[in-house]
Amino acid sequence: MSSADPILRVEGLEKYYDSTGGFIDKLLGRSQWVKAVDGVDLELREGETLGVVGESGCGKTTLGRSMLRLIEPTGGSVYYKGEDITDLSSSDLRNLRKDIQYIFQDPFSSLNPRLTVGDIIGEPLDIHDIASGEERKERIYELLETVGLNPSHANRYPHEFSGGQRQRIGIARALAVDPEVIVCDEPVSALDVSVQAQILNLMENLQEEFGLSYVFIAHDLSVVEHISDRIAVMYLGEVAEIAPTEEVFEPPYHPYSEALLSAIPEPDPLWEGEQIFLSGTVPSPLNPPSGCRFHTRCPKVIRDADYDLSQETWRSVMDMKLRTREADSVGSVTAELEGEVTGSRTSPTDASREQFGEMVRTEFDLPERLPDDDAEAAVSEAIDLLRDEELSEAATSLEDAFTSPCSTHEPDAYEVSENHHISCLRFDDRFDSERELFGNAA
Amino acid sequence: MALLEVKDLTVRFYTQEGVVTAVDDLSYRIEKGEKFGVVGESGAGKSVTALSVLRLIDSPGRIESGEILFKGQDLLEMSESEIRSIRGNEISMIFQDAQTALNPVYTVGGQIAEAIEHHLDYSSKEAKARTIQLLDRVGIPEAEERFSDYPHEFSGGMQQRAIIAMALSCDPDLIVADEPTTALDVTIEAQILDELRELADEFDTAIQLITHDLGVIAEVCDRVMVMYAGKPVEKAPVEELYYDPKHPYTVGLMSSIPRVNDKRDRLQTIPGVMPDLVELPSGCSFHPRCPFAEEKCTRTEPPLTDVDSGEEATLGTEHSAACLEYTEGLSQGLTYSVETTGPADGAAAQYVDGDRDE
Ligand SMILES: Nc1ncnc2c1ncn2[C@@H]1O[C@H](COP(=O)(O)OP(=O)(O)O)[C@@H](O)[C@H]1O
Ligand code: SF4
Ligand code: SF4
Ligand SMILES: [Mg+2]
Repeated sequence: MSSADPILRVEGLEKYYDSTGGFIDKLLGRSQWVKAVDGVDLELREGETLGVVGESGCGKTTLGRSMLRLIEPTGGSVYYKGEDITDLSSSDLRNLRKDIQYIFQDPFSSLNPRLTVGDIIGEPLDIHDIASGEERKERIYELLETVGLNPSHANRYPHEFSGGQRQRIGIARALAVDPEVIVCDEPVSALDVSVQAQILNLMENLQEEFGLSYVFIAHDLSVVEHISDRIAVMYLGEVAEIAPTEEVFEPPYHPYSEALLSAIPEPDPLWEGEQIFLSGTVPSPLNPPSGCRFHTRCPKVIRDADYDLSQETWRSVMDMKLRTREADSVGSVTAELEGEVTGSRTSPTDASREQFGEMVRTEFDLPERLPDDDAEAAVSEAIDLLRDEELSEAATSLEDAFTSPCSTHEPDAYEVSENHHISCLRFDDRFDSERELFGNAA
Repeated sequence: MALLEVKDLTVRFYTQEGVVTAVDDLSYRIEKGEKFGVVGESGAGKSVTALSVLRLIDSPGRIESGEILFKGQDLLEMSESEIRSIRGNEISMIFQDAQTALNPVYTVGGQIAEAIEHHLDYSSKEAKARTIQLLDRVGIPEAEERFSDYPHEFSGGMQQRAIIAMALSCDPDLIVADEPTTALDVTIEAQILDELRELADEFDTAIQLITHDLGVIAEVCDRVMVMYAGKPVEKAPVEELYYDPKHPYTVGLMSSIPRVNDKRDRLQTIPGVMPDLVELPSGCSFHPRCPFAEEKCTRTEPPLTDVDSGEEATLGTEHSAACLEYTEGLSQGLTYSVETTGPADGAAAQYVDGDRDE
């Protein structure tokens, strides 16, 4: 392995969980897969910290655990120092665990409450036959000191320690085997800011001292930014963007990273940054959206070349189309009108055509009349169909009228500069950034 | 008349380990429609303060002394039935954990409608109509259909929205919200805070917002109280607290936040942890962790003081802090500095303090 080679590399990593319903489903061969991690490529370079961020459920933990085979991936490969570890035997795997360690989010539940702190830290020493007797004791004391705990506390139990101290114990245990890589899963999320800062500083000092490489998983972008050299932003089992830390926080952005960044509550009352709100909720990984997985929520979803609509109105039209497709009843595509009398309301099924139209347009923030005549005609037709409770006809008509390249084309990881990849069609060659349109539509 | 005045509140828990003074002689005031933040590390007594306002302290806890005046009436003097009619009606609550607020065996809509029927004397049809409008208002699509869903059929973010709808349902004058968005993703948190703030403005509702996150406070609040070990250590209008903090603990909290675009190699920290409330340090409770502590800090407990006049703070004082610097004065003084790079380019107030080491 040359020094430029990554110490840990994953290639096309997949972890699908079987969530096939019951016996009947199995009998009929109807299987359902939760695609928790779906084709991830990543490299961890020696001595660096790679941050992994994303909302809950985006696959961060599954990715982290698959990296050291605490979870068996269902596809792809993991290479440690150039060697494929995907098919290691269990004894080789045990040796591997000496090199790659894992720290859990919850310092409260990840430590065995019945063991003393000394034994918790000593356990990996025993498993890997590293030290015994007096030497073991010395090593435990040394480790406690290294993480800033008092060696005289080796005989205490986890419940006697605060959250930050327990996280230090977890770190000491990971360090016991003298690892090369530590995968840290939300190691500071459960801690107060002041304690969080202490732990982050400790981790940075240890990295310097022992030449460690970290994979640092968190949902908090500012924490990840502080500690990482490079950051991977995940969305629904995929990497949306990966870049050196400074570049993630500057344009060009992946629209999802930009939204995450804007959502961080700034500790500054005069802060005037615009927050970007995302439509809808995180879709189910059971049935991820076609094309770009983010297209159901993306504020920058690419417009249909057939219409002349603002980006905002286009997002509203897309929302209307997507919601109609999923709707079981007209209630899900209508807003409540402000009642003139409190405690009264007009149900969408009793509303006049005019009221009904207003309900739909309010729900999706659509203007009373769309500026593009063809688009207006299509929306208006869909509203008529919805009022007649012809939900699937309305969905089809919207589907036919409005398409975004984002729902039909899957973006590649485009290289926007060295080491900076963004998976968004806006960085595809076919995207005309002048006119903000996709493809060769002239 | 102020909406809420808490005066000299002391709350203790009688535990096996000893007597925990969770809230110690605490006073604050919330005006009508005001958004009042309470911030501090865990164990500072924020939640106990909130529960006291709703008179929900149970054994082994006891409200030992003080007054909680709501529209001039002392909640602590009220009968159980009087307090119940205030709770959920004039004062409502939002907790971090939506699960505890929603009863799993009743539908979400049913629970809200029942509260409306009960408190506002609506017919069940009117209550249902209002509930659906509220659910829609807090951003729950398909409000009419979701009305009869059970709590477990809602996602975490949706549950928290439903709780906000429930909290607003009876048009309360005060909402006490304890870490309402801590369990949520930032993208959802941002939307929910925005909604909460907007709705509170629209309904002219005051909020007592409890959080450990100074970012959340900055976004929502007008005034802030910083708590440490059961006591307020600083109270100030929100801008003054961030741009001109007066208490070393406040400065420490601010400087330990990692910020986007901040080029510091290591974060500043407050060394050590919150003390054991059974046995508080002598003098200023913060002294074992305070980088500016002097000998006298171990002997004299600093009172909450008006930082401008040096007089003892009253409920009406704009900006107060509990540090000896503002009473007898420290011989070395407080040597932190606040660097403001301005909101325009992102990194705002950064805290650099003189003699603090890692
Ligand atoms: N039911 C209880 N029994 C015993 N001690 C309690 C109870 N509730 C709170 N306390 C104690 O009161 C103190 C303040 O707690 P709390 O108000 O929850 O702080 P915060 O909300 O600021 O984190 C803590 O020391 C806590 O252990
Ligand atoms: S490909 Fe389209 S939907 Fe996906 S991030 Fe880019 S603009 Fe948004
Ligand atoms: S009184 Fe002393 S210990 Fe307390 S905050 Fe002021 S300087 Fe620090
Ligand atoms: Mg609390």
